[in-house]
Amino acid sequence: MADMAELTATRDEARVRPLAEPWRRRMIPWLLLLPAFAVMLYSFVLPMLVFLQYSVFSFERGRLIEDFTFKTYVKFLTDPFYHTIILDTVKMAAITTICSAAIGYPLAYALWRVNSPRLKRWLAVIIFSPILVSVVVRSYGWTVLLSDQGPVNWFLQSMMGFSEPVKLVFNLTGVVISLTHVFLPFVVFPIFSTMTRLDPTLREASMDLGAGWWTTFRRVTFPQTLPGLLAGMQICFTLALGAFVTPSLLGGGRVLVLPLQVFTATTDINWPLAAVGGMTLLVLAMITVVLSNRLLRYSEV
Amino acid sequence: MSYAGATQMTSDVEFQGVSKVFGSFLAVDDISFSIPKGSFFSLLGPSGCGKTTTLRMTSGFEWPDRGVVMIAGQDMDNVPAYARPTNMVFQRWALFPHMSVAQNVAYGLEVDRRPRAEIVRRVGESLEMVGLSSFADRKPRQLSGGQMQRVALARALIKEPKVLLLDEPLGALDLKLRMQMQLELKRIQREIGTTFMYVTHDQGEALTMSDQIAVMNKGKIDQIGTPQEIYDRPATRFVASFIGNTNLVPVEILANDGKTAKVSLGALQFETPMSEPVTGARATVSLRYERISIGKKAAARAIRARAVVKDVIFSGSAILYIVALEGADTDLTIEAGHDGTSSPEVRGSTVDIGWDSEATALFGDG
Amino acid sequence: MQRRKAPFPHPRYLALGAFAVLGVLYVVAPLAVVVLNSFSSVAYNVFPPEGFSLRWYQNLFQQSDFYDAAVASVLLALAATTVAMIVGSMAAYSIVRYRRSWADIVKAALLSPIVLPHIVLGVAVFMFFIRIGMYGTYFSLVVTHVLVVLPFVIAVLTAALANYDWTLQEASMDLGAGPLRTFFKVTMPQISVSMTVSALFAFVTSFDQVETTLFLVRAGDNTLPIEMFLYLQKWQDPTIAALSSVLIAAAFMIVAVLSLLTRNKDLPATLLQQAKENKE
Repeated sequence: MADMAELTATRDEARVRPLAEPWRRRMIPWLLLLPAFAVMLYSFVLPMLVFLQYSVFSFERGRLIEDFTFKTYVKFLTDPFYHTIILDTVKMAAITTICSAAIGYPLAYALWRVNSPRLKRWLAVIIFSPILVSVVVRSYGWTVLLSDQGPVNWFLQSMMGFSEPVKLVFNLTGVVISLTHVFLPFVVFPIFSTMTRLDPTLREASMDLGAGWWTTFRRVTFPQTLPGLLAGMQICFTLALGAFVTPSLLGGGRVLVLPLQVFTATTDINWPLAAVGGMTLLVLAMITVVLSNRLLRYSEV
Repeated sequence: MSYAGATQMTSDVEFQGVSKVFGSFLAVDDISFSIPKGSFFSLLGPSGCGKTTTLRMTSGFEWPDRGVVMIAGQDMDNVPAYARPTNMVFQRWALFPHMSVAQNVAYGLEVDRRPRAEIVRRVGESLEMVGLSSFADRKPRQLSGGQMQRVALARALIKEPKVLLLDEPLGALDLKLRMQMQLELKRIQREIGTTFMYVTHDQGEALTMSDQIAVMNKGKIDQIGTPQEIYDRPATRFVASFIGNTNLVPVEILANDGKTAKVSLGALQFETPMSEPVTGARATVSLRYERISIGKKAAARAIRARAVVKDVIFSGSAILYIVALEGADTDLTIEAGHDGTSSPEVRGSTVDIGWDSEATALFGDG
Repeated sequence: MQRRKAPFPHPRYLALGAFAVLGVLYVVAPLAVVVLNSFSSVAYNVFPPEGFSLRWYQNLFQQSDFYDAAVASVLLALAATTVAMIVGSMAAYSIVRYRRSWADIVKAALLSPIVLPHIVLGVAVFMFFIRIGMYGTYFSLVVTHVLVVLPFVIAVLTAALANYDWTLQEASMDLGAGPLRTFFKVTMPQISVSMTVSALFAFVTSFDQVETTLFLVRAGDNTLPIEMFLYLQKWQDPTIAALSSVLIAAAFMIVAVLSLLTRNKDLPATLLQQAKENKE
């Protein structure tokens, strides 16, 4: 036995192994990451743990009861009132996503196909710079634009012959129109990006083989830009799920979605309810990401 | 540094039993060598042989896993790259794109916080040396490959390093320019007397410029010697085949006294010096293309044979003959100088060929 | 050459062009109408405008609340951007430079807050800061804003550093510069476009925070978007239009400065790549 041990020892001695780096050098990458981890811990990990904890507390007759219970979850998930909220949230996000894709894809296509570099640059600036303007300002702009006496209704009444103002604000329509506007750049961005990375010869090859524009688009361009479209839709859907400012400004209290419910519950000091609503929202967002990542992987093959 | 210390220092770079592994890949395997002060030393070998890793261990970008690296007599263990008395010319030159030529060259001095006037003067001298004075204000992207190469050289030399490291600096240049830069590098090295440690896979470069060459293969140094030693007396079969063009011919050993061996190649028997101890009956003889004479010149050689010309290839300065040795199932390639007068042998003819015993080297098959 | 002879563009291109025009209209309309409304002479929203005046601007500049909030927002965004750039650069450098086996996991972890709806984050930090007695501190506010913008900064900078030629770093070290000096004199200039873009985006994002900040500021210390948000819940007069116009003008200036700084036609494309990295 002793011989064996000696033998392996010498053999190990003979083989060169990567020398362990001095611990000071080994620490450097972690030291560089330390501040980022500290920020994560302070403003993300620990708060989320506390949030999770509140979701298993309950709130009865104006008092917080700090005992472990799933009561709040059960109440939240069985109450038809909250069902409506969850469904409305998903519905709002879904319609917004579809509208954003329907407007965003052709817009990205136009941006891609514009020949003049100057025009392209201007178009890009116009499409992307609204990101720089506060969501509050943009939502406010839509309340003005869509109000009963606003430009849109003026146009509908004086040009299109509508006799009554069309109700566009303080309902889902207004929220969706405005949200679509807010998230449009996030949808155009990834689509345009996949388009610019397309190999132009593929299109030409398809045309050369006698395929018309529509066939080329359907068989070559669209499938290849699908990952970008899906990515944009994923971003849009998750952002729309969590949208707070626009639904509260354009919903006029009539569009009740989860972020508003979380906000209201928090101000009502019903923290367990806020936490349960928030967890629901988070789970919805995570389901979206997981599903669309799956879809994305499938579309990229 | 005391005078006594300086005289004791005969080598600028010394490797003692250095090894380096990447994961489980042994990149450098127990190598030792020392580079005499003021010499031009080349590490020559195919890609992946460990030559660049060796250079990077000298510069301080990699740390040896075993062994000692000494520069100018000092152990470099735990001395970071920025504190070593070496400077490097990188493979693609790595000029700072946001700085002008002058700023690139001045960088090393600015880092050392030299006085402004001194920086200006030395940058001027450096650019003068590489002939780029009029390009001082250009950005690297406005330069040609050869000019960038010179800037990289000036930038690395301005700190007057003990050792200048060059990592295939000519690899990205075209052939003509490469030849020209080889001569210029050699000239500069002679003028300033700095030790150069040069990594290349191009045997021509190494042979032209070096005082000493270390041929590396699979992480080991096969041979260290002057260009002529390496070329004429290759220590291993790898060195023989990697440098120059050679016929590697399987032979049978008839007798062997440790220094020379009597071998048979088919019906032909001859003596050959041994490069390494050979055991067993089979071995390989290395016979350089240009060391075989053909036609009338063959008469003056110690070992003579007859062969049939199978092919004749004209390549400008030389003519290549591929011949089949009579009495043996072996083809040989012969390179004959082309002087414009001698009429080449024709295909199909039978010719005399011959070589001298010291033109060959014998390696074991193992 | 022959294509030019076509007297009229294909209807398809006309349709696409028309769509692009409508799209631009849709994008610009809410901003344009805000500017138009800010010059209205009446207190209610009506189209076509009944008259023009500058009274809402006068009103705006008399409201010290908005002014204070704007200053607070700018300071907060500056602080958050500065911290996020430093923290983010260090993290991105560590992830890309050392390429350890954990790099991907660490990066995914640092980007994970992106998935979190802001309102959830806002409420969660509110609860946590109250629990540990750090509620209402400027420190907590800044760190929360840093967290919001950090994933973006890290995504952009890791993408930039991944394209960076690390032999430049070696060249600098070889010439005697230590790691810090090398970063500032060689590495940073090479990723300056990405640094500028991410700093700008961080600033704008921090400046615009509503959900995450709503619960963290005490009344009277409101940031500008929150002040506007609360104002809009009570009134809808064109004072807010005047203020919005000022903000739109500021955004325009940012665009102008940005396009002057980076005369780089591929900018949107590079950004998009980073957005994609970001998502992954």
